[in-house]
Amino acid sequence: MEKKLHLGPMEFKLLHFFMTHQERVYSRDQLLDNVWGTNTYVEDRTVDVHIRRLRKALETHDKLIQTVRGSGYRFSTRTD
Amino acid sequence: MSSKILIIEDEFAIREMLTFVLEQNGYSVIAKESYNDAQQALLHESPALIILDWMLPNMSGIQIAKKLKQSDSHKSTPIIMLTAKSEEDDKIQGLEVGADDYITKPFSPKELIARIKAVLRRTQPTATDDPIEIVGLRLDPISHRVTVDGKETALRSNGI
Repeated sequence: MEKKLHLGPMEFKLLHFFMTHQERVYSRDQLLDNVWGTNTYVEDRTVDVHIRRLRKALETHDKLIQTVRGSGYRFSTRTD
Repeated sequence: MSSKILIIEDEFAIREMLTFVLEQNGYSVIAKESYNDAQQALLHESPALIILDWMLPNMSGIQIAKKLKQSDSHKSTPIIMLTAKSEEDDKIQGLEVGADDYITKPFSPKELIARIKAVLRRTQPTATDDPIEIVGLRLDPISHRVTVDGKETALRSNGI
């Protein structure tokens, strides 16, 4: 069964970044720098919004995007 | 998405040649003749890689590389030094100030492209176009397709 999700390109970029930088924690600032670019001025809470959308898009794989309290986010296949 | 490459090279002929070769290979190119000239591009374009000539008037490539590697905004931007010098000491000096690779003039376009690809692969894995697959989740950077165990979930890319 094929299912299409209607999301902006930001979630794609975010996922691409995470998949190529696994098992490392990134702060919101670092994600903004790496995914949005260093010359964009967006609030760091913007990251949370896109993380939420990305998780929703990943459906059963949403656990890959993990919140690390007080630090940021991490892409990991481990759930411990 | 093509990677943006900044060239700082004072010799017109080489600058043109580099621009031609890189564009042919799908990169978008900003070519400047000096560090001063490149300021705007460095501030606003965030290049994925910098090709830096060793012998430049005013400020040498080594000085520039040092400066870039000490700056917050460009310390992680890879630099390939372009040099007519093939002396071991010079190569070492270049690598020590933070250059990621160097290439000796005269060079073949093929070698240059191969080195650029290698440096980009090393420094920023997202710049390559190879599909990635992790626990059944597959992402193809070229087609912008994300699939889960054969079940496709297309992320729409808007604006294009």
